[in-house]
Amino acid sequence: MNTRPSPRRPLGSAFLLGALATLLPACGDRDAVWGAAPAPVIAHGLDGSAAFVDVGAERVLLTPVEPDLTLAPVSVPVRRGYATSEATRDGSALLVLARGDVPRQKADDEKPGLTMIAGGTTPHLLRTYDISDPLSGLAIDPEGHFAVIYPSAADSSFVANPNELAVVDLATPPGPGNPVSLTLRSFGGRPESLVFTPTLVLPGGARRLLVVLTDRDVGLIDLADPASGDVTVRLSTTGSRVTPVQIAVSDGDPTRSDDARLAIRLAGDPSVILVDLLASTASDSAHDFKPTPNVVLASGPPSDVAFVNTDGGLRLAALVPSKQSLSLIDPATGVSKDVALDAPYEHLSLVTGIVGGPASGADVALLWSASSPFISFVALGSTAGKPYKSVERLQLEQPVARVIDVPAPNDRLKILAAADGRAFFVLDLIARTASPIVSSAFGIDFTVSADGQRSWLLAPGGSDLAALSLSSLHPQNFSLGSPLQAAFEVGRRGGGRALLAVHSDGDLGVTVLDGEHPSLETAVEYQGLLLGSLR
Amino acid sequence: MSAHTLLGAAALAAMITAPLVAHADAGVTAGVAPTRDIAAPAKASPAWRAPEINLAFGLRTMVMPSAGLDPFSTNDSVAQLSLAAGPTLLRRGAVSIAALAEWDYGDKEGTARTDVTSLTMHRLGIGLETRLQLARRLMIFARLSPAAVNLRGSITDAGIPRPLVARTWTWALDATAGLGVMIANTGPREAPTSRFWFTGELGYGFAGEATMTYAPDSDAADPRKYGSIMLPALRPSGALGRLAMVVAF
Repeated sequence: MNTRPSPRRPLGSAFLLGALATLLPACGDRDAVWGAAPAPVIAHGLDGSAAFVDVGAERVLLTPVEPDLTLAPVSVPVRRGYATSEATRDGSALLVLARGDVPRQKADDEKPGLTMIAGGTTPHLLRTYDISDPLSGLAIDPEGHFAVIYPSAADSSFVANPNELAVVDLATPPGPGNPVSLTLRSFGGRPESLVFTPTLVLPGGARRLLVVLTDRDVGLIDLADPASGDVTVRLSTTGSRVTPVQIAVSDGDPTRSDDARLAIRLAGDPSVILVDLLASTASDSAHDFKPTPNVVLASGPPSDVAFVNTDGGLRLAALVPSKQSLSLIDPATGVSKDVALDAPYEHLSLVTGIVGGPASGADVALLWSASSPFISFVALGSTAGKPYKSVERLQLEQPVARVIDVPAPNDRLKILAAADGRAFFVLDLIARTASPIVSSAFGIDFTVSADGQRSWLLAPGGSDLAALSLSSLHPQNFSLGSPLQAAFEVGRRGGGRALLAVHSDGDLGVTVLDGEHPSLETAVEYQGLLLGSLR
Repeated sequence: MSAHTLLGAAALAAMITAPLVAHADAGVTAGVAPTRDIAAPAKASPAWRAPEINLAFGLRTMVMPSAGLDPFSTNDSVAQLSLAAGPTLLRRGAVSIAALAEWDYGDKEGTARTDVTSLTMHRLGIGLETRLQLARRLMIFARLSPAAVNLRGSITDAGIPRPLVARTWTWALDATAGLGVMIANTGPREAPTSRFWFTGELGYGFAGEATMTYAPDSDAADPRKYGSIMLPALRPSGALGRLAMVVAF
């Protein structure tokens, strides 16, 4: 073999070697999302998909379901600094609040923002609203028209104004007047909770109000003109602090504009503040209504209040568990009459529209308790000197911790969850029956389908899932392969329903079942969803 | 058709015409006697003679700026073992044309959101290489090699029983040029029986985008139906280089 070196060394060889050497090292860094562990997802059920907030990837992964039960994942980017997220009550949209880059130091650092994502079977980004400050509190109007952003306990800026709110009109795109920032007039308090009223016929016309409960007073904001600021209802002028904990609302006679009113329940106090929303007479007022508070007394500290119709007219019903009574207070006169009950009921809900009230128009109330195994139906009216027509009682095996409404056509049913999370009862409001359903596991979580046909039950952390037909009360049990975190029933593309059972292990797993005819034979299982649909 | 595909087709057309031009040039210079420094062309012989066989062994590296590589690597570089073999089809003066069957193999291992990932790439190609011998120990060459690329991605998560796997094929086309230095030979200097070359080349690899769809690997004992997840599509394309040892005999 002739191994004599060449007398001429080509210069090109050195060039080639150098050039090749440049190919070996990294020429570009990958997206940082691949290098970080995914944070636990925040899951939401929407109308046409499940939504998973993937904080590490600054996105929401939405999973609409095809007719064959396969998923068609869609990734929607959201801003950095996730704060909170919430779906609208009807599942038509998901709102994601982000603080942006804090502190913002560069021109391209992201601002705080509220991202609105359509939640149907073709989910997509609707719009993003810029927010002036990195706040973390989010309240969504039950009717889905407004959102309010407010400071929460998680916000820890060096200097913060706890009474600063941003009101977002979700029906209109972002612009100079949307969102509207305002600062509540404060007498030392800060917002604790927010309540959106239904439409009220007020002296200036029909509009909705945002009621802000602070730890000592109540602010009213006209949602038709939030920039005009709030009207503060001071609950105490004597220096003693009372804390509002609940609001009840009545529009009164819809043909009148001077009889809308609020009731404010106070913590641990038999007093209830009735606020009449009358026409404002002050020429310099920014509002055309004026809240006029009056104090009425229940027989003891109420646990729940609601405006009810009796054959004697509108009354404020206040449940007083310590007295085992229901106080019916005439808002016009403040006169109270008590209905004696046989258990310390703590909660009431009106079921008149379902069970049908008497011809007089009086309401029927369902009473329930977390400390007593009884429930009662109270037909409000008056017979022979009594302020009610009848009280019908049912005894359950356990007290009720939670009541879940069932949509039509099975809206005559309510699901009563026992405190141990193991047993629950399907209450038929018309037949007045309470059918027990028992699980072998504790801490059962359940959802009711939007079509009112079934309920899905699961024990978070377990792998068992059950579909309960609300027509026949027949349970159908499934054992899935891995632990469950949640379940959402959604509409399918092309019609039909699908159940998305979310698994907590791995990088997000989902088992998709036919919602109307669930079967493991047709189910489709997904694993590692958080790795998919990334940029 | 994407711009990327058009570019690849243009390069293919250009490279196909290159050997023809070289062939014509060789014809024109056929009567010129080779100098001492240029390897003597094979003598015309009425008897059949086996063509020269080329065997190459080397390292192929590519800068692959595809998002599809991100789940498997913290950078864009991919190194592959590169093997090639084939005959010299034609020799006219200083110009020769060789065909090469190529196999490049490489894998990457990494993590994607803390899951262990791996990517295996096989590239199976047929190359046509045109060489111009500038001196006895120095040649330059250009190569065009269409190929099929097999990609196999795998994701292993402690929380799921079986790895998620993606298998797919795509097309590729390497267009490279480089130079070779003969470092040794056997046999007579004028007509060596074998020659050993060290080659280096640079170029660009065009390729189609491969959809990376992952699902659990099949298991006959598991009757469940699995859906697939889509990771970023992988296009095994980019600037490339190859260093190889070639023996021709």
